[in-house]
This record gives sequence, C-alpha cells and structure tokens, in this order.
Amino acid sequence: MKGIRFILILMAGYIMMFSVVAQVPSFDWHALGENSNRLEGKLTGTIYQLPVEVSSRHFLHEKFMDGDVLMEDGDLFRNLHLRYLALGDQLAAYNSNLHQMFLVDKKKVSRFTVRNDWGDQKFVKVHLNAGISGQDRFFEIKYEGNRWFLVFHQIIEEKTGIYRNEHGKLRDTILKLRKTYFMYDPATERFRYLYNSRRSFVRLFPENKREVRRLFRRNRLYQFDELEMVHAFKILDEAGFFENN
Amino acid sequence: MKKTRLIFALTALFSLFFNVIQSQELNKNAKLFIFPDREFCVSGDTVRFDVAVNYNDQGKSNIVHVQLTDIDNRLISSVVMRSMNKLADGFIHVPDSLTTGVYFLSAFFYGQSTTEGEIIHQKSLFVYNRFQKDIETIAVPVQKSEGYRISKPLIKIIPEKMVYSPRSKVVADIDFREVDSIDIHQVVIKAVLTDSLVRGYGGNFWSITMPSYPSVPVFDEKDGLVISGRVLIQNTEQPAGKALVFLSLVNDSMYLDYCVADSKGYFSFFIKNAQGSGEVILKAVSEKQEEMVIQLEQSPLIVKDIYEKLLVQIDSRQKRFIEKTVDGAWLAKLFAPAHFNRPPRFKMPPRYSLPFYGEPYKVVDPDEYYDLDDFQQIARELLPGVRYRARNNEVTLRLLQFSKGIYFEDEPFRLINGVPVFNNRLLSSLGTVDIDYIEYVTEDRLFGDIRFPGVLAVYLKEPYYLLTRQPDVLSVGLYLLQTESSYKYNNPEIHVRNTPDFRTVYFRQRLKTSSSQRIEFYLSDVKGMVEISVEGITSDGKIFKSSEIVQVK
Repeated sequence: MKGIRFILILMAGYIMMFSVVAQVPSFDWHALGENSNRLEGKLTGTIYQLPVEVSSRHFLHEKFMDGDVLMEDGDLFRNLHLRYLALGDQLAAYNSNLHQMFLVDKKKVSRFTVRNDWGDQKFVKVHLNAGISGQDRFFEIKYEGNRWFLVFHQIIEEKTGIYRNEHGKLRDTILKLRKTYFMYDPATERFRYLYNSRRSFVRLFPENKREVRRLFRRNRLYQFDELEMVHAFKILDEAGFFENN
Repeated sequence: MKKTRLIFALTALFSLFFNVIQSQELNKNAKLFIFPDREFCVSGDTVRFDVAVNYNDQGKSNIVHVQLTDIDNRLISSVVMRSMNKLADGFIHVPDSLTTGVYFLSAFFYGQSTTEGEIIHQKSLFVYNRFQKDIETIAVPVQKSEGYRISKPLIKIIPEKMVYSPRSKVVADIDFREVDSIDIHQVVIKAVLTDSLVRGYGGNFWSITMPSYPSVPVFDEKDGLVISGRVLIQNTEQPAGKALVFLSLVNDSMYLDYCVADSKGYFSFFIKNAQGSGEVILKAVSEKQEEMVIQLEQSPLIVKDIYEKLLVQIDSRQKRFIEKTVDGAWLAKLFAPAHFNRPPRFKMPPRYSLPFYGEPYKVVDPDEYYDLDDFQQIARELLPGVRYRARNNEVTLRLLQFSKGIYFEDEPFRLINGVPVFNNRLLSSLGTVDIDYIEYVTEDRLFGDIRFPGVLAVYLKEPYYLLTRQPDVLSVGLYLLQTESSYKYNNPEIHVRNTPDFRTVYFRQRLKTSSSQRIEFYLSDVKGMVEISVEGITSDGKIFKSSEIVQVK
C-alpha cells in the first residue's frame, strides 16, 4: 500500500513539474553560443524533414555543399551548407548548431552560390510571369551580360511500370531531373524559352539569321550543349546582337 | 661655451625633427577630422559640425560617431550619423547643466573604439555655463607632444576692411590661387566670434585609443549602429551561465533580434538603417530561468593619455567677454522665435516583406467577430489549430503542425506587440476589445539558431500593455542614426529684423573644390574679434588653416 502511495506521489510530482515547466521556452541551449550572434541578421526558414524513402533524389545536389546566400536587403551570409531542392524550387540549408535542415525563406533570398567540387554554381531569384501564375523561381545563372542565360532545374515525377523501390515499396513513378533553358532580359524582365539546338538560337534573331549562323560557324559551335550555349551567349553579346534585340 | 651651444642647437634640431616625424605619423593615421562651427559656446547651445573622412576602404564602416567629452574624457553626449562621399555632418546638443570648462569633440568609427593605438582627431570646445558667473580660472588642456602641424597657409583671406561696425556687411576674398586643387580634400570657410582664450589654448588635439568594452571586435558598422549592454542575475548580480537577450522595437513590432550573452554577461546588437529616436525593448531569459536584470552600456571612446591640465587665470577682459557671451545667449533665447528641438521621428525601412517568423498561417482581426472576453474563448472560437488549456492554475498553449497533423510538443514562440513573452497568463486576460490582430504560424520555424515550434503573435491596441506587466523587460529610448538637418548660417533676413542679434557664428560654407571666391556675411550686435578662417584637410590627411581677424567696434 505504501509502495502504491509512493508511486502515486511520484507521479503527481512529475505531472506538477511538467505543468510548471510547460511555459518555459524550449530553446536548445546547447545549440546557442556566441557563434549564434550574427549581428547583421539571422537566417530564417522552415524546418524541413525529409521522408526516409525519398532520400536525396529531391535535390539537385547530392549532398550539402558550401555556399553563400545574398539576401534581398544586401546582407550576405557566407559559408553555409546549401542544397537546391529541385522538387519544390526551394533553397535548403543545414544548421550545424541545431543539426537541422531547413528551407530558407524564399522571399528574403536574392541570389545564392553553391561551391561544387567542379566549380561554383550561381543561382538567382527571378519572377517568372508564366501565364496566370507568376511566381519567383530560382534559376541557375550560366551567363550574365546584356542577356542572361538561365537554367531552371526541376525534379519531376514520371510514370513508369510498377516496380519495388529500395525500401520494398511498390511505386509507379520515378523522379527525373528536367532542365529548362531561358534567355532573360534583365532590363525588360522578359523571358524567352531556349532549346539546346542551334536553331533555337538562330530563331532569336529573325533579321540576322545569316550573321548569327556565320558567327556560330566561325566559333565552331555545333553541339549546343550547355557549355556551347554559354559560349554562344558570350559571342552574341560581344558581337552586339543583344543590344538591339 | 661654443660646444654647449652646439649641443643645445643639435638637441633642439633633433626634437624638432622628431616632432615633425611624429606629427606626420599621427596625421597619416587619423581617419576622421572634425570641424565644428564654433570654438566656444554657451551651455544649452547646439553645435553643428562637419566630419571629413580620410579613409579609403569603401566597403567598411560608413557610420561616424561624434562625442562630446570633458577634459578627463568623461562622456557628456554622443551622436551617430552616416557618412556619404567621405563626408558627414550633424549637430550635437551641449547640455544646459554643463559647467564652464574645456570640452572635446571627437569623431571616430566604431572599429576604432575597439582597437588600440588608433589616432583620433579632437577639437576643443570652450563651454560657458549660463548660470556660472565670476569664473576666476579655467583648466585648459595641454597637448603633450605637438601632435600636428598646420601647413603654412597659402590661402589668402583678404577682407575689404579690418574694422567694422556691428551689423555691417563684411566682404572678403578667399584666394586659393597658390594652392593646387588636387591637394585639397575638404575645405570649410567660416566666420565666427573669437577671443584670446580660445585662440590661445583651443584648437586641434590628438589622442590615441584604448579598446573599449563591451565591444564587438573587428566589426564595421555599415548603415547601422551597435548597441551593447550587460545582463545579470537579479539576486546575485552575477552573469548567468547562459543568457539569451531579445531586442524588439516599439516602433516596428515586426522586428526581432537576439544575442547570446558572453561569459561576463555582455551582449551586443546591430540596428541597421534606423534613423531618429526610437524605443527598444530588451528581454532576457536564462537557461536556468533566473530573474534577470538588463542594463544598456554606452562606452565612450577610451583614450590612452588624458591631457595634462593647465590652470589659466582669467583676466578682466576675458571675464567680460564670457559674461557678454552668456548674456547674449540668454537674450537671444528671449528674442528669438521659439525653437523646440523635437526628437526626430523614428524611420526604418522594413528589411524584408516577410516578418522574421515567416508567412502567417492565419491573420485574425477580432473586430470582425463578436466580442469574446478572454483568450481561451478567442483561441477556441477564432484560432483553428491553437490549443489553449487552463488546468491546475497553469495555462498551456500548443499549435497544430498542419503538415504532420499533430500538435507541437512544446510551447510556441509567443509575442505580444513583437516582444517575446514566456508567461501565458499575460495572454489569458486579453479579450477581443484589447487585440488589434493575431497572426500565427503553424510550421516549425528557425530563426538563426533558435527553433520556434510555431509562432503566436498578438498585436494589441495598447502599445505599452506589456511594459506595465512584465518587470523584467527593459525599455530604453535611443537616438539612432541622426537624420539630416539643414541650417542656414548666412540668413540675410536676420540682419533686417528689428530685434537684437546675438549670433556668434556669421558664416559657414563647405567647399569641395578650392576655387577662389568672394564671401559676404552680416555681423551681429556683438562686438569683438571676428575670425574669418579657411580650414580643411589635404588629400594626404594633413590639417591646414588660414585665418584673418577683423575687429567689430
């Protein structure tokens, strides 16, 4: 009997303690230190928990890479751990003090750079007015001159036959990375779709088709893969084709 | 005998050479030069000034601190302003209660105050107290080493006459022809009343900094200013193991910042782009939930050696001058139209279109609904996803994480008028008549290194509700970045007015180019010596001054 009473008192005590600490702020005090004091401002976002079965296929980058984020007000956050979430067009960052992945508030971000092993990848937020639903999107910026060469990375779900994934679950879709190319005029904020073909470029200049073709020939541009597309932008810009068009 | 003379001559030459070398070194390192509009004033006056920035690192600080200190380097007042195109201008009020004596105006960057060995240019300011008469002596500063040399004046000031009558028009030609314009960085032409005491003992001074505390080492203020303070446990007055200080702005309830105090309890915040006078609210919370006490600390620029003082006997002529100046200032206040210096309005452009807690899930305006008496009813009726429970005299709040369909385990981050609150009882008594609007976020948010399990922000119609109910909140009024003010020195309307004129500053003009020109200004009713001067700094950071005295009889 005494034992039961003791247990009951203990339980009541525990409940009371819980109710007393209930209003106490639930800060992770271990994560908070003097290195949390960034005077210029704090990075804000929403914690993002990735379901185990989708692993990292939602992202453009396989793992978190070092990078910088430039905010709309000019504040530059350096040396963050970044990944581009290509499934939802969001910038994901890793808070190493809290050990949490979070999606940086897109409205506050202006640009970001991801430092890959093979080089820097620059992204810029631009408003794409696609029909009725205009929205801000992150584009990889491949060339920045009078016209910008932008790439939109998107992870899409594609229908397949039924298969069993690595977790043993039945699925009928696969995730695939799709790239969409654009020519962007920063002055007028207008977009033009581009394909990775010479024809697509030539069609941008209906009045100078010959000159453009000649320019490409002289510079030995035939493949029109991403590298050649960047080169095409550069030579077109240098030749002054973007000034009048 | 000849040998002794030679030794003396050599010693004198060496000391002169050493002084020149030292002066060049000092001038080379000074980053800011201050040019006040007057060299003496009466307590209660406002002194205007220009600050020339002789510093090339554009990417760094653009915020200039100007402070008024006494001869023992005690801080009297300070102002902060933004510099543009290597120039800043502003004003500082000389407190009415300031005793008669010599004070210093100095300009510096925040980074200089936290570093040792920075050279600071100071200008003396003789202040005469309005109510302190019969002064026999005055302590004047003595520069230990002659820290600067004024370049041989090549600028000629040619007044039309050398003697003028009160209220007459003065015309003077400023001839820059012998000066190479490339060598000039900043020029100020001014005409002010002066006296022998100011001319003899005042002017330019130089001091060397010591690091101040609290400070943020290696931080450059760009478009904002750092404020620092200390947080201690209320009972023991010892720093808490770990304390978190939140800063909110009364004028901008969407603003929040935090700082983790160091082991000694010091904390700092950087407030960007805030102008005018604002009110900040500080709230501290410690890991062990102790009662905390917060104090803001304004550290003056600490200098290595305080100037030596020399007690100067004031003769009857100087005494008369001081009395006349003080009476003039008093009469000027009587006759001049009422001029109130209202605190400048708070201005701060929002940094982002989004509050720090992100896009709210819902914004509720209780005025759109029927009246509810307390927050429990409001939560139940108007706030879907907010669970308010009152049990055993304890109130708990939980927000529903819609993405997962479950309630957060922890209390949400609660704000009343933008100030964090950790006591739900403060919310309990709030009814719909008190609340302007409620915003809440049902996502797991991150703000720097702090995780918010949802955010509940309540904005009240009464802005000071919280201050009257939370004893551990510190509310402080602050002068942030000084707003631009224009002042007309050479106002021709003054001279035609049928009222006494007691001005002591007659003309002031800042020149960017050293082009020769003619200046014209009207004298006041005050008789005495008027100094017309051209002062500035050269491109390589050396001060020059050229002046001419005219008599007003």
